[in-house]
Amino acid sequence: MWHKKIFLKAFTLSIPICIAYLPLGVVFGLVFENEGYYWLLGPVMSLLVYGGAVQFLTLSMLDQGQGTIQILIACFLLAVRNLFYGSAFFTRFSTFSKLTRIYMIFALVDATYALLLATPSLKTKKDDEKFCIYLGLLIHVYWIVGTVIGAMFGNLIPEIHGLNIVLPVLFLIITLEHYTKSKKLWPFAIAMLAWFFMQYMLPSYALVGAIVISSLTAIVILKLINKTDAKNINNLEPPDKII
Amino acid sequence: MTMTYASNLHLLLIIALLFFSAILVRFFPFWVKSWFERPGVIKQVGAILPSIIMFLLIFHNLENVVWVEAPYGIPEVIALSCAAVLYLWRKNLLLALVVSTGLYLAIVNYLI
Repeated sequence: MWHKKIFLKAFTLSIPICIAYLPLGVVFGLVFENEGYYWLLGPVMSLLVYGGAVQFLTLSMLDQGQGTIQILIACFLLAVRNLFYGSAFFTRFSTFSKLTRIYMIFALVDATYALLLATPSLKTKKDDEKFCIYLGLLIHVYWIVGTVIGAMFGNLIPEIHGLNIVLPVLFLIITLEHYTKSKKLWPFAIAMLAWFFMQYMLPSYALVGAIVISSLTAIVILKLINKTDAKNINNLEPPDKII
Repeated sequence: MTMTYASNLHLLLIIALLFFSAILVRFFPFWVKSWFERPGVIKQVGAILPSIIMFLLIFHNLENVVWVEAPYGIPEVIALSCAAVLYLWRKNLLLALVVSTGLYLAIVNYLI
């Protein structure tokens, strides 16, 4: 496949994320600028930290005068959900060059994670590597460019309300795709229960808590499924004689 | 309000620390890759984990929606249902996304 064709494929797929992340980046840039920091630190933050929630939380906590350690702990807890993303790509990233692999792992934010899951590996490993890095870079660039625009021109841009709906819609579509492929409903059932449980117990850490609870419950359920499968194999009737 | 040189330096320090924190969090699964690759329950959980996370991310991104006051989250429900129907009918990600987002923007900006 042509470089250009692969790039176009990655670009088309990234357009919905551009719609969500570019304006969000602009908002971040604007807030950052309003706080009064040296403008360049904004894009630097978007480059090195690359996490919307974490970046906004940091600004808010600094504004409140919170200490460095508190900020680090809070941001870590917010970012820890990214820990669960890597395991889906062990095989896919294993053939990439070292530099590409390192960048792609760093670039595993919600949107990139979702889009990579939604796109099966391309036919050749080289093509897939190009596709992944183009996708990862594009989304990162949208975020950084948004920050720059927001920091420099934010006051001039009219706000279009409601673009954030792109993200839940994207995740819904991918969830549907996963369900139609796996035909298993129980993972979603325990996820939903875990979510509402966390909303009741500790809403601020709902996402991470729900992931952890779902994983632990899934381990228990899978152990039971594995046990019953093993038992059933022993109980099978011997096959009919083949004449 | 302009920040002092000191607060900018403080921010820079925090950015650096958050950078290392991001690396730690995102690279960690690859450092313990062997835990996941041994056949067993962990590997099976790893296989369904993306589905669970995707599903939870829907709820996570809808956290700020106010369900008990007007408009009661109805525009969001409309957008999500539209996306679901379109996707299941046409199997086209971009189509479902663009149409439901457009619908949502129209409702939220012009009807309310």
